[in-house]
Amino acid sequence: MNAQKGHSLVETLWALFLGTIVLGALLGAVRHAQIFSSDLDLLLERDGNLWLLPVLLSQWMTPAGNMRSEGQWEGLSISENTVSARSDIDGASGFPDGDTSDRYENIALKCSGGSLRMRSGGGGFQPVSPAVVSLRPSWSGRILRLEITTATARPLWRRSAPSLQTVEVLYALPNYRPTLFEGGSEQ
Amino acid sequence: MKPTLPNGPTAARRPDHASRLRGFVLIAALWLLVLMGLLGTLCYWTTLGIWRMERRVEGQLEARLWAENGIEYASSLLSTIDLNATLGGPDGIPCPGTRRNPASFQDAVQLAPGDWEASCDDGFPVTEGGASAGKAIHGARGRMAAIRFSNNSEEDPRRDQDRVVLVRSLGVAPRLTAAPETPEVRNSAFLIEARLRQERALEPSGAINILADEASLSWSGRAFSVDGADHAAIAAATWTGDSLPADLADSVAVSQIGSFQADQGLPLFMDFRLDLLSSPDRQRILSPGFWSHFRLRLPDFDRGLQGGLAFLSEPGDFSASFQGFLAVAGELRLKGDALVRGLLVHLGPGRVEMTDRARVEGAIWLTNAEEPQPGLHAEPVSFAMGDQAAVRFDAAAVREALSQLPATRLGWRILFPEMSDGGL
Repeated sequence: MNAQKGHSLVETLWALFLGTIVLGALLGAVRHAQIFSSDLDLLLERDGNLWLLPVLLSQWMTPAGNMRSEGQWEGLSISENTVSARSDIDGASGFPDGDTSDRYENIALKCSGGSLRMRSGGGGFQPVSPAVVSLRPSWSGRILRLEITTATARPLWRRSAPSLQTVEVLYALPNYRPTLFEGGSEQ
Repeated sequence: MKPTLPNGPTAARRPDHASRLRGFVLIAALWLLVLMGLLGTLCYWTTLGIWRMERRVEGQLEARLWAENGIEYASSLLSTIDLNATLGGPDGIPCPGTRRNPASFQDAVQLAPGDWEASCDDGFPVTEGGASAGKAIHGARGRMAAIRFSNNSEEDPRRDQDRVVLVRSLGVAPRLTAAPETPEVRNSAFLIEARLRQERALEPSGAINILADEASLSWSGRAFSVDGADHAAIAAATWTGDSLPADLADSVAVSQIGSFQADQGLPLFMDFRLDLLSSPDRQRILSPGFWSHFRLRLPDFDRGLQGGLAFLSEPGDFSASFQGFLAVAGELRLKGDALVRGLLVHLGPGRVEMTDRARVEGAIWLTNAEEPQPGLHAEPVSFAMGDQAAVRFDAAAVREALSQLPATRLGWRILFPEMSDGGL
């Protein structure tokens, strides 16, 4: 006798129907996994900036702000969302030479256009870190305090606004203090 | 229909196909295991690498903090150390070459902080009493900051004259994770250099030191005493470089000469302007900015009458005891059993008066620079002494008073291995 091969129409339709349901469920699960992955990427990107910025800024701000307070320049100056640091820290001999023309002796930071921008020397402000929505500097004693807020590039799933995260960083400027006797720069 | 035998080809094919299928699944499973193992291992090593990097950054930051602490320690120590004894080392035998680093970078990453000893002792601090002040500060779990002084390059390496020195502070922190590829690297090291000045510009040349173009001095009776010991009784210098005001010596009656004592080879009243000009450090007090800056900053450094460095900014009477550096602005009357042991620096304006049994053991500076303004304008100095008041030059008290003055930081920088004189 011949073995019966193939399937009946009803069996095929049932198989298609069940397959569609299974596929739909699978796609739904994949979609959620994608959403989770995408949100995680956004959060990691936002937080990654926050982790990196304090280290970067310590390399720039601490030397530029680390001057004696009675020097010829303004030293540290702070406005609403901008902080400037100016120190004579470097010259040909490696010690102060009487001007602030060398790299990283004159640094300004501000937040504008949704990013953190930096100016070194006399140039214009260049973007340093994206997705920084605010920079709030303050100064007390010999401690420079920077409050930095970053945001995700777009709102997370089912959120109407980008998610924010804030970090507060304190920088000690041990040289930013008066001297009893005049120092002056080494020429 | 073909007849099929029980042991024919069709019957024989089915068992082979099943066994091949089982074999394929086994191999696929093994490959999957290997793949997952590789992925897991990759993930593990990546995470480990990131963790090690983060720990090394932490180690570097710790080493940097310790290096900065070392600079602070050296700065606080500088006021009390004997510079030339320090530059020559406690044993007085000069080391070959110029040593600036406490240890080379190569040694620093391998040393055991608890067992570290410098190969040569030049540059390690020696106090003015001759004692070694310690080469390093140690912390918990192997952290250390080692400091070493050296002379600035403008001077002889072992003879200082301008009171300006370099100090290098090496911060060492043990690595929190070992690096298998470099097992000999045990520590993180960070080197900072600072240029400091020991403040001795106000070192007196006599029991009473006057820096003014005009002076009004008044001596009452014969019971007072001005004893210069091995210095002059009164040393004076003018701003303009003119000769000593005649009214200085004329103020003393012949009968009062016995109240003044000085070193046998020195006059009672000495012009010390040349002494100031011959010292790279002390000549600073003749510059316009020196006194105005000093007066402007004194309130920031006032530690009160118990703190060794005090500033009295209002005129008044003083009848207490004080030891250290006392700066005064305005009229001052030392009366009763007032005792100032150390340096009394009067910045003017106004008169200084010593009466009753008031004593100064150390020295007095009198100068009348006005409030800070462009240029320097000196009013006449006014000083009166009578009754049993006494001023006696005391070198130890002067030295202790000057040690209360904080060192001035002239420069600060981070050094990397390629910048630090080959590690020496």
